[in-house]
Amino acid sequence: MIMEKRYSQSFKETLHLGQEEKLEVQIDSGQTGSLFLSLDEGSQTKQVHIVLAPYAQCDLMVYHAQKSPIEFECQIELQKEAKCQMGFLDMEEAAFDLNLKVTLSQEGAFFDLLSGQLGQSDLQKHNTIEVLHLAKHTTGLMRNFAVLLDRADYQMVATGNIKKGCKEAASHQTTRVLTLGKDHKAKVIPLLLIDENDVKASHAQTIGQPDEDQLYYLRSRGLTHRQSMGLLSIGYLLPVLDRIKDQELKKELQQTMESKVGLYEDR
Amino acid sequence: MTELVIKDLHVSVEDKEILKGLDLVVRSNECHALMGPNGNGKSTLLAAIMGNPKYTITQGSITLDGKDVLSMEVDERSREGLFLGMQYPSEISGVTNSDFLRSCINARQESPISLFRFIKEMDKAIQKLEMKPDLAHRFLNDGFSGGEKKRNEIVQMMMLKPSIAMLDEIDSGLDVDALKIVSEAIHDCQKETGAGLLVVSHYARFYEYLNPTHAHVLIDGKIVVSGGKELIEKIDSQGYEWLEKEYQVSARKQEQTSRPSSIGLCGAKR
Repeated sequence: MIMEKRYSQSFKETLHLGQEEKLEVQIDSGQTGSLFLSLDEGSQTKQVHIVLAPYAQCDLMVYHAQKSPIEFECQIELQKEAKCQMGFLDMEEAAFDLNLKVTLSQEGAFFDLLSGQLGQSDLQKHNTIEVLHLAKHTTGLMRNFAVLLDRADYQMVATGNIKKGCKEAASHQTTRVLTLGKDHKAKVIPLLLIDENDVKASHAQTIGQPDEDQLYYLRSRGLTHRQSMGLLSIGYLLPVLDRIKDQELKKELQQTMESKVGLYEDR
Repeated sequence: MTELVIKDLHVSVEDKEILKGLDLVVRSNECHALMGPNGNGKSTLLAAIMGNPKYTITQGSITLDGKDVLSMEVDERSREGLFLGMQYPSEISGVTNSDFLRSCINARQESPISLFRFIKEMDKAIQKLEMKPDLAHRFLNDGFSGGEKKRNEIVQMMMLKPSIAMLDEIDSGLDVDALKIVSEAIHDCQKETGAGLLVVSHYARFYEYLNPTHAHVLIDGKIVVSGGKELIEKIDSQGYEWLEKEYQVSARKQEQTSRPSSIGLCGAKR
């Protein structure tokens, strides 16, 4: 099944992608708005294709809420001066395979991703992200945060791809992984494929355990080991919620997050 | 009435004995000033009481109202009523002060604190310490000045209401005005909760504000002399040398840590 949406005026909508396998979104020229896309129980493979016409702007939040394994393919095209700020949050106890391709097809297009994933025990979270620059003055930002529990398997292959002629393009990416459990796997591969001289590009990544002094400090205020770990996890995942415009929904998801990282345990 | 009793405490760090048989009793509403030359075990004592895993207790006992503190985890000690205002509080990015404190309060009671009561108490503490109103929304100690970190420790103390509070050089990094503000907040907190205080400081001015009921001097891992305010005054005017002669002890000198020297020119970029 295919769901189709076209926004010809300002918009603020929540879309649930359940049994539908494909969502097509067209945001017309100059239109601005926010979309909350919930990946609900249903098909194992889900595809989303979003086109932002010139000068369109979209705050896009993708929330993974399916309790069974999912392969999610998302393609976003940004045309002249179009802007997309995307948040992606995945805390479910289900395997997740993300394939995100963003094409900055025309001059001045801007894309900014903030992703947060909780790698629950024994689960696989594999991500392949590419931001492709095809025009001058385009910007692609990627900030990915993950918290891994016992035997979680996390992979992030993030590519900034700047083609020849894309002068003054900018591609920056950061991936930070906090490992809380044992026997986890974390593979982070940052790639910068640049065929133009006049660009700005950077990548940074950290993978590591929580600082022992920080843990001691938190525990010295009465938080259990699990709660302290939870609070440190919140520090990694919480910024993603800032991408949600609906304050009620944001509060609800923050509570879900606090519960999933174990903040309410041992009380 | 709460009573913290320390008996014959021996503490080692990396196989080096720092505390060599220390006895001390701190009760509710008392204020104990703990002094001594640098590197003689004051901070070690407070950290050992709180349960810092870097310190190993090799002998002795610590009890809080008869309960064996040494068998408790760090967080259990806190929930039992112990608090340590640290000399170098950790910075934790991504965790806001309000989320942190709300979690800490909720960890020590059956039902969660109401948001209204929490905000009211936090505002009261922030005002008392004359901190910026946005403190609640800032990340825990992240980007704080030295003085702000120390004030934030006292904000936490006011919110958590411990029965025994230990303050480790909480006055360092504070300017004259801030020192007075922090001292008054500690006073008010003690008045409200009846907490017993164990305070490490090098400065008589801070103790003047706190008005300690007891004073102790710790040299080479042992309390060599205890007394009242007159002891603080004497040390302020005469230093520690007279103690070494009178009590035939030798203060441990701080080891000079060797710092890597620069060769001036280096090809490696920083």
